[in-house]
Amino acid sequence: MKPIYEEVYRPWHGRLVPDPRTWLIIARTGIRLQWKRAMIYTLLFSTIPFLVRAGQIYAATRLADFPELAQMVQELKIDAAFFSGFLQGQAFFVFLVLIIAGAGQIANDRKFRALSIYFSRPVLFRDYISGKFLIVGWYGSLITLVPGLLLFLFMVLLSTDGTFFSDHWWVPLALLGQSAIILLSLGGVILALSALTGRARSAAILFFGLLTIPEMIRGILPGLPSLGFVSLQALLKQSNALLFGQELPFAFSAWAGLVVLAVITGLSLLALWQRVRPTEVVR
Amino acid sequence: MSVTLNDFTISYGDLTAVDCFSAVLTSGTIGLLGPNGAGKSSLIKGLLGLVPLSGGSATVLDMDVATDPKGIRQNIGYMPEDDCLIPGLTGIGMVQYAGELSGMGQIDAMQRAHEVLFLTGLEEARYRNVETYSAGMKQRIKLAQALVHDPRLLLLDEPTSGMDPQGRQEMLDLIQNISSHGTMSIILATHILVDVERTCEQVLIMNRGRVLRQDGIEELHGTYGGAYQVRVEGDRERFQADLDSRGCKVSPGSRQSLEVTLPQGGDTDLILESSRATGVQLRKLVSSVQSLEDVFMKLIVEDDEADL
Repeated sequence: MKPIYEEVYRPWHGRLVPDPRTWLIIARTGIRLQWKRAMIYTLLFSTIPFLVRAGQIYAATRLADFPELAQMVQELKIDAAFFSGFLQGQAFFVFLVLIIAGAGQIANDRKFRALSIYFSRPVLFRDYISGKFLIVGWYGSLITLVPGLLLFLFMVLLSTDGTFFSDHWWVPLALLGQSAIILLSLGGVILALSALTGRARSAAILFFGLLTIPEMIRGILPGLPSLGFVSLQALLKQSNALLFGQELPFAFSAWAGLVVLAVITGLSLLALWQRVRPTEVVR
Repeated sequence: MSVTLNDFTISYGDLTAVDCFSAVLTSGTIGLLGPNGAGKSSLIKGLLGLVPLSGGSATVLDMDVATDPKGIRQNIGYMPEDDCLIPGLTGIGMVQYAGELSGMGQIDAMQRAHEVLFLTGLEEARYRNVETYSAGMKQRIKLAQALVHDPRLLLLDEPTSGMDPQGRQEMLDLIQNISSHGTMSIILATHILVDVERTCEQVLIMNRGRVLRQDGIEELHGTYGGAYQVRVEGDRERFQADLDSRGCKVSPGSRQSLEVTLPQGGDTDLILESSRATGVQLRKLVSSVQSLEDVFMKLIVEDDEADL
């Protein structure tokens, strides 16, 4: 009896359409792969400060009419500093999310030699790196930009006279700008470490060290304001204060700090360019 | 024409892996045969634009390697030598992802991924994470991801490396299957002669980055002009002397046989007459065919000796 179906190679008759958004395919798959238990828990815990801040907004706008609460409500001032403080408070969760989403991102591709699969297809370096940035950016913005904008929207909806929006219309732009600075600089650093070390764990440890050790040194030597330039945390606090129109916490120029952050991002890209290669030549 | 190479050179610092390589690889299944370090993998990577050219030029499917690497990669399927996996994905996920990266739509890529995983014998394991695959399964998934977009040219770099004998046979069957039912050309780089003999129509033998010979399998197997392996029972010396006197060239062969080359225009009757005349019993008379291994070894040894 002949088999009803013979397993032979059958050509595909479809048409290949070069997609200029290859980076989107890489990002989409990467985002799906990172949706794991550690990420879900981190995102869940990160909603606690968001809910607390949302409660503050509700109290400040709805409980002012109660005389017994008036004193407390007056202290809850919802302004640019409120949103600036929210972003600073998310720093720990940003750190965790970047480690979970970013540390293994390129290290694992190198470990499993996946780069030759990517680069033997119509994928360019910029597609690959943009896709990887989008993965860490996506999860990072779920901790920073998205809740920040939701809080702003919540405040706009609850404020009855419209003065809040007219006074603070620029806050969403500041939220967007500061989130972009955080995610581009820290995202670049974690991806570069992932590519340089080739091991997710090593990248995570180095990232932790880079964030904490310079900050500790800066704390030990408060008399040297220029040390702020080597601390990523200090640089980000400084840019936060600049964008939200707050008093600068450190005695160095905020604009110079932004330039240093741009240089750090540039160096990260350079490291990625050096290490993300389809083939490794063993000399 | 699949691939044209003109003085194609690839160097890694001081080391020249592919040295002024010029060849035309037509359609069909072509074996790139050479010992380890001959430059086969570097040649393939150079064709894909994965390593920069140090000199010369090449076109693949009429596209220039230097100016249109993206166009080339869209039309090529590449099965790398090393274990290459995309961590975290299942078999079906990885092949679908590979298809999408090559320009297939999401649904097309999914359907096609199922098809090629069935073909490569991974249908049972397609929902398993690729990191849990055995060595043989990793080879198969590499082939599946190279096939998913039905490329015009398939580059296979050591496709049977690390496989057990049964797995090797199955992989070679698969390559034959693809070659006979597909429309694509195949370049198979290997150091295993049997793999080439079994699957290829043409062979390109290379050593130390250079082409030593390019020919069809049949031509390489070509018989020596009227050469035969002869084994006799009886007085061998007398038989040999008689053949010499009849104008044959006789040399000792393997297992006590003789390699007899007939004179111009001579035929096997000459050997039969000689055995009758000398009273030896003819036990074996077969046409002497040179194996691919003979050719390969001869060329490699000659090339190595020439370099000393």
